[in-house]
Amino acid sequence: MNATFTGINIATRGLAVSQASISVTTNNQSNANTTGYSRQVVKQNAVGAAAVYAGSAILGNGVQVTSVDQIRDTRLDQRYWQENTRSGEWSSEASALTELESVLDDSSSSNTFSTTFNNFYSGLEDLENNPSDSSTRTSVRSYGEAICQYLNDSSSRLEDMRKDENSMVKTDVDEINSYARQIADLNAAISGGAGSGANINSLKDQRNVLIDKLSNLTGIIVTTTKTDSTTISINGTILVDGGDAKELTVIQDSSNDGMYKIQWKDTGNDFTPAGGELKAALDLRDSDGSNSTNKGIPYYINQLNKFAQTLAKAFNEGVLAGETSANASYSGHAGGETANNTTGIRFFSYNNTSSGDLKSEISSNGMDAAYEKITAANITLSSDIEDDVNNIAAASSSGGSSNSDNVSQLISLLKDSKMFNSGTPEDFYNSIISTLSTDSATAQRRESNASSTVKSIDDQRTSVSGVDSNEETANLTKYQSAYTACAKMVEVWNELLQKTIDMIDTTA
Amino acid sequence: MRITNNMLISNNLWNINNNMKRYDEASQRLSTQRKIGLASDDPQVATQAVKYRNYVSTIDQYEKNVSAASSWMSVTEGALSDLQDVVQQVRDYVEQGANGSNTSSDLSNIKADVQQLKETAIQTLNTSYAGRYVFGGYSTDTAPYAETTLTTGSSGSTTSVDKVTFKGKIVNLDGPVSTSTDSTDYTTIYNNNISNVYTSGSTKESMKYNSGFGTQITVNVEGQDVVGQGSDNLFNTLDKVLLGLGGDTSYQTVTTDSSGNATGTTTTSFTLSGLLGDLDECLDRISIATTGLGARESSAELASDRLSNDNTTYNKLMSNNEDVDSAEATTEYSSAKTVYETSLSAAAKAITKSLLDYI
Repeated sequence: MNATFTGINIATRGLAVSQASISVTTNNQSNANTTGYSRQVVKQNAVGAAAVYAGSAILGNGVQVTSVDQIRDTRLDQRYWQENTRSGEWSSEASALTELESVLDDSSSSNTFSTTFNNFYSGLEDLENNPSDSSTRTSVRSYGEAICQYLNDSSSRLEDMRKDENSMVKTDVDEINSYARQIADLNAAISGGAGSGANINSLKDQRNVLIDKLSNLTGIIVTTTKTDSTTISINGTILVDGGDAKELTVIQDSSNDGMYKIQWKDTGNDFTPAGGELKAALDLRDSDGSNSTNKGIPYYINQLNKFAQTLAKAFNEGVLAGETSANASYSGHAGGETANNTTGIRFFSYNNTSSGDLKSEISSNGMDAAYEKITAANITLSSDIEDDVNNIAAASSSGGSSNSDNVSQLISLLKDSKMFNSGTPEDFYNSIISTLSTDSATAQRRESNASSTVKSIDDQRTSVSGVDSNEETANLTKYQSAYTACAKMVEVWNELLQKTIDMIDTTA
Repeated sequence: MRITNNMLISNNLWNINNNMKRYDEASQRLSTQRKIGLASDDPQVATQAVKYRNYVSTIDQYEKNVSAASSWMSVTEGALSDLQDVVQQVRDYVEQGANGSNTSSDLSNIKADVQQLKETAIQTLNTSYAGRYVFGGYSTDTAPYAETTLTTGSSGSTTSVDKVTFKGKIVNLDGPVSTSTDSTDYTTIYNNNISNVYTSGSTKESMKYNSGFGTQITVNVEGQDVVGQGSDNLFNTLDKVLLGLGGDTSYQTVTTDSSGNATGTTTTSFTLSGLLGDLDECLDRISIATTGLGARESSAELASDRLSNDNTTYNKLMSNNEDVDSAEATTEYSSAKTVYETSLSAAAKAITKSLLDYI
């Protein structure tokens, strides 16, 4: 025999579940634009029989909410984190290389290497045609200065970029620490909440957003424990374990121009990022391209230095790449005679060192060691040339103000394809540009690949977890009618009970 | 695949953004008329661009060189032609003086004219172009030819002879002097100045201008090639002419020993008409110099033609390499614009509707 109020009880449960469903739908709809929000669904099941009627049939006992679950595919999360790391790395790489291009690029603006170098070359031609005129000498000096300034300026801009990348390293490390701390805190809250039966869905969403961001900075491996806590490790070392987060710290590395070096704070072990923005920043800051890693700013600084050294050595001494002073093809600037009837004057130098000082440097340390002191950052004309344009050695031998055989030699030298291992100065510079632009184009392509992969995975994630207002509207309608129906049931039972009560004649 | 409203919106935005990027690139190409903005847009084009620009600027420089060379040579040619006229006039005077019907005052007038012409010859040889003396070899900043007077002896009985110097060295020290000059003094003058005689060096002082990739043009004519060296040089001949017009029939020159020092003088007789042959030789020398120069001028002209052809070619190559084809760029631009606008209007229609609108 059924209990009297079973019907009303069943209807009431139905009302409660419909109400809960409407609340969840409302919550979903409200969070439609919340970053990282995963849609939630009400899990409901039929409540088992409470009474056996007539021995054979079993009556149901209504409905109940078992849980409110979030819809999320953790496999997609893992893939998203992997791809996001790649995307972070290549987008940093691409934007830095594009900036580098604007420093070194030749094809777009007017104040470029070719213009500067062609001016110098034209200045020498004019000097060759008219060596007795001090104005042609002055313009050779100015154009020579322009080459030095171009190299100085490019080099210092590259150094600045290197410093920017260095502060980027610090920022990235600070961000990693902050994310790790927040993730650990959320882990603790989630574990605590799960124990007490509280709703932890929104905390999990927040945690996922933080892990998304963390994965952009460095490659991570995320594992989730049974208690819904996460463990995050980078290159085999655990960063976050449940409620505990380790910290990274930066120290200034004196062996690397005082740039930041990343260490684990507790063990003091060196930290190496596995991809991501941080790896890009470190590569750009440190890589000289020697061990087939991505070529960073030091590579380009080295190339400019090599350019400055080779140019200075060849122009001053007539010694081309791979030659020694004994088998030099040209006599160079030092081999010519100045308008002051002296020889041995060096045209290029560093930090305005005089030609004499450079010469004694060469005789005491050897030519290669002396010219290694010249970098793109410090190349200048020698003080002798700066002080007196007559120190430009135009003539090959004494014999007149219009002798310009040495300038003629210097012009051939500048056009000599053996000056650098890879050709003329233009060829060498061109090869720097072509390396840079190819690398930059590759980085841009990889960035766009990675970002479309990230986008497609994110699409899939949204497809699974995202809130769709059409769907929620449909659900709302569904739950609303269920609610109305249950309410109607209450009304029917009420009438039934009324009838039963009315059957009892209290007046009898 | 389940599609949500937000996916619809973000996909639309993504596509709009891509179309906008294409639109931006197309409009940039159209407005800059250049195929590439940064080298990474097309490394191949960028590398070629630097090469071509280099060629163009080198050729520009060569054109400048050739034009400077041509000016230099045309100034030189003018001077040589003037000099030829001067020598030709001297020759005419000598013919006139040699016909035997002249009075002594006629001869002295002619002599004065020839004296004047000798100075004109020196001035012509000191022709300069843009402040640089064209006949001086490497010494372009001082006038190469000058007249000097060499003297010896104590006061009261000094002997002096007029000579011409080239770059400070005497050209005609061994040349003829009047027989009235004291031969001992003359020998002394000779020996005093023997270290200061012009002899051309073993290397020519050729001024070469680069006129092309690996080619050079020698632009200058050196004075000694015009004036001549040795005893029959222009100034020796002019000195003889002046002596002859002054009525002399002989001149004296020094005799030298094996080490080149003067030991005394010898007297040689001559006639005015005999000098005509010497003057013809001088004229020949000037003609030869002029012809040589003319050949170089025409090669400079050829070089200039070739360079201007090269300039056009390389400019064209440069333009083909880095400049956009306007028609293509315009088409691309309009297509990008259409696609962009279409995607905007499609998105506007797609993202505004939801089920709520129909409930």
